[in-house]
Amino acid sequence: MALLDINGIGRRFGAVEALDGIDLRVEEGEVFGLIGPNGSGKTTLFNVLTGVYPPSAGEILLDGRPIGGVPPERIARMGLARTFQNLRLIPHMSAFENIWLAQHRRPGMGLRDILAVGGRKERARRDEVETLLERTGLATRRDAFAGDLPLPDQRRLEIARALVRQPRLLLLDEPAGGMTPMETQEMATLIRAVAAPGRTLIVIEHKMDLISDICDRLCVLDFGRKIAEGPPGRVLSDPEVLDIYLGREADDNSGDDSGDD
Amino acid sequence: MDDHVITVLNNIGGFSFIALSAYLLLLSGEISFGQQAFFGIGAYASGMFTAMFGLSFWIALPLAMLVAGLAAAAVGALTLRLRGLYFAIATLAFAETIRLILVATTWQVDVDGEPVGPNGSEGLGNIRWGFDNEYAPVDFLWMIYGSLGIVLLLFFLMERSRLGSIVRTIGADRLLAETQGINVTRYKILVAGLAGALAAIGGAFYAHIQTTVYPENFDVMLGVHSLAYGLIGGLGTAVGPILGVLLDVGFLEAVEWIQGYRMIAFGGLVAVLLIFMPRGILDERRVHLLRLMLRGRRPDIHGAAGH
Repeated sequence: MALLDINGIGRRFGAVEALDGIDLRVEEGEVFGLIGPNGSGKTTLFNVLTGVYPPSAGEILLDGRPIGGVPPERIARMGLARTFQNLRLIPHMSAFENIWLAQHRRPGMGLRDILAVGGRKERARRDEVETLLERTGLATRRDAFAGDLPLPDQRRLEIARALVRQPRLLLLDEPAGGMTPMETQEMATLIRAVAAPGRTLIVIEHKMDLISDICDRLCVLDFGRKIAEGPPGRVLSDPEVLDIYLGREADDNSGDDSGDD
Repeated sequence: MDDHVITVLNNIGGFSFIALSAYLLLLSGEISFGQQAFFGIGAYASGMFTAMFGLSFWIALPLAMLVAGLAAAAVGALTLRLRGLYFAIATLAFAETIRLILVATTWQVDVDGEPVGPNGSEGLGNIRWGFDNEYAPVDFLWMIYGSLGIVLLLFFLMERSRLGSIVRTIGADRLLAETQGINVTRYKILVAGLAGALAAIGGAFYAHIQTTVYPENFDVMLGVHSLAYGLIGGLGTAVGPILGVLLDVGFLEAVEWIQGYRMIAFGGLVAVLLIFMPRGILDERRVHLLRLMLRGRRPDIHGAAGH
């Protein structure tokens, strides 16, 4: 059984069909790419998956359990974590606190853990945050306010915050958005390390070299419809994809971060 | 200590509770212009419990907190869908409703041959518990600051625990809180209820020091002040709103040459501070730096070290 099974998902905003009958299957341990021009529905799909918007049609199964229309906090507790394209860090909290707060309501955490100001379990959880800061290259920025960090560090911090929830499925929304080629390579290294222990990832990206580098499979969206799916080599050489997506992308010369929904 | 000093200190202590009440809501991202309602409910309920039913203040206080807390949680639940300005207006409307209900309510019982109880705009008088038990103003001083110490300790524990970061996360970014597994609805009602109970502590002390309270004591100016205390004192720590009370009641009210111009001075102070320190004097950044310094850690908060 696939970890994530999306059947005929639609999402309508007024007269606009942002998502139109999307079918997707993401297997456990897979790194799955999601590409498409701006406005093609990628972030909308993330928002529907995480419960920010309920789908207007179709069915989503996470590990066999339906999550379509379930409130976001319940979906989060079912093991789905995400990062945000336009970064949702708490600017006036330190890097440490931004990760620490996300441990809330992981499986097995109760009221006593929420009120704890110390103790063995809480110390172990704090150590875990320190380890994640190390792993994401943020150890020296531990006490810096998230709002003061440079963009690449903010994107790393978003990933660390999602990882601390120990998700079964991790959604990364443009993890290398706005980064230089050098920073993008560092991000690719981090994503591969994140995926290494068999974690399942869905990655939205505009940078084709990053996508073909890290993804096992990918799918192309255009105007809310799936137009291609398969291994990166095949999809990225598909003439229809080249025409619809890459052709148009070449015109506006990528790098447009102005949002996707 | 002379009586004037004790009165000023008692006022500072009493207003600190309602300032902390508004502060707690500010942390969760809500601006309430209505905390005076729960201060008033605390004053009336505790006063009625001691004066009409002969309960001890120490039983009347938690009961009044419970009444105000439940009322506040109910208002919180009703206004859950309202955000920002709409929430602020709803809280103001509720507080005015409570005040007008008090004006319209007369319910007196006979205590030692005297009618005692709420008497419309004449207020609730004969709150004699302090007098009967020979409590001097200085005794109330210890009671107020003892209670305030306990409340502050609870605030510090909250800020160290995950509960504090949950409330701050909801205040900073509601959608983010939801995607972190936080049940925002439940915490919003909890915070509203706790804030109501907090304001009631101040009201209970106020009623038992004044011995008579009137509905007009709980008008919108009290709510505006309590909101301003957190905004000028700072949103980084629970000491912030108390600093705000100190500045207003301790400084502006105590300095004689400002008398008569006090509201002008206070308004100017709020305006200037909010321009130069939008999150107050003790904002998150200054509190964070202070904490790092206290722990002996180098305050590298601009991330200048590089990797």
